[in-house]
Amino acid sequence: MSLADIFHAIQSTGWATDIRESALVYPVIMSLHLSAIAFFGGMILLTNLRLLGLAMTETPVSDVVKQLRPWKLAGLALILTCGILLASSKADTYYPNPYFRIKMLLLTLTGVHALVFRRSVYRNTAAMDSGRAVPGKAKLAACLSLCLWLGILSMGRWIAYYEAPKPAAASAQSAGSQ
Amino acid sequence: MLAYDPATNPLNNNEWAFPLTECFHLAAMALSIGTIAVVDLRLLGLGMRRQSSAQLVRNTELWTLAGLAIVITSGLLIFSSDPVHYLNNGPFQFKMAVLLLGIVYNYTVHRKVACSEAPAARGVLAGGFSILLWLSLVFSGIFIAFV
Repeated sequence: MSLADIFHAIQSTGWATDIRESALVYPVIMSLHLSAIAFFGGMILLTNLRLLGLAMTETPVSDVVKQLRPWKLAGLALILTCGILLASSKADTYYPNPYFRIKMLLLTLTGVHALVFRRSVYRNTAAMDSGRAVPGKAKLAACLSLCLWLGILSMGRWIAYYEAPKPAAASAQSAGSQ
Repeated sequence: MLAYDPATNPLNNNEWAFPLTECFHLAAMALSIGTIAVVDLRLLGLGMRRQSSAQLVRNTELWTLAGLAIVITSGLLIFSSDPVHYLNNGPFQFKMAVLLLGIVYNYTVHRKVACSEAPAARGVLAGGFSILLWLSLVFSGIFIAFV
């Protein structure tokens, strides 16, 4: 069973079919996906801007990071859930879509990012409080996080603009007629 | 005669221009709504409780404004790609009404409550209404493409 078969099996499930065929459920899930990006994705941006010393400098780093953490995690769970439902409902067209693949790669990299920087940066914010400068490593983590999330957002938008190439049979036919 | 033909708009003549504008629109949306939501969480007593809502407004207002400027500019560009379509679109009309209300509300009532020593109940009302407004803005934005 290939990965394409698995994607096809997902799209063929009853719930994925229901989402795809509903005039209301699909846009509602998409609206929830975007709402969560607006509310909680914005908090991710803000946290990174704080680490870079560009926003909320009056508020200690640990106050920003610790107090927003549960909300960003809950938001991420909502974004992922909605995203999985949306992609599942159109899994056949998502599978070959290069922008979807890049988006999944970047999502995986955010996991790597968390593994690399969690202990030294995000769970170590007390060291950055009381007026001390944010260390370079934390700023690097913030920069990378901003790039990853903006990349994921962009690829998400670009998924809608990918046009699959014409089926191989058709192009072979046109080549043969020349 | 002043005639505008959307077919001449660069957004409709470049493969990258339109999706790129949308990316700016979405990122700036997250920045503006996300920063307002931080104040809302505080008003609701659900987050950022070590800071006062007044301090949070002060700390986020520049980024909220930057987000609003970019989200509105990119929104105008997207609008210019097909004005007649948008003007006749129900969710778009609703979205513009909510946007106007949201901006006025954010810089009057919301700000006043957040920056005063208002009783908690008023903060809960002001924060809750704010979240409802911005949520309905996002929903109507998505539904523009589904009617």
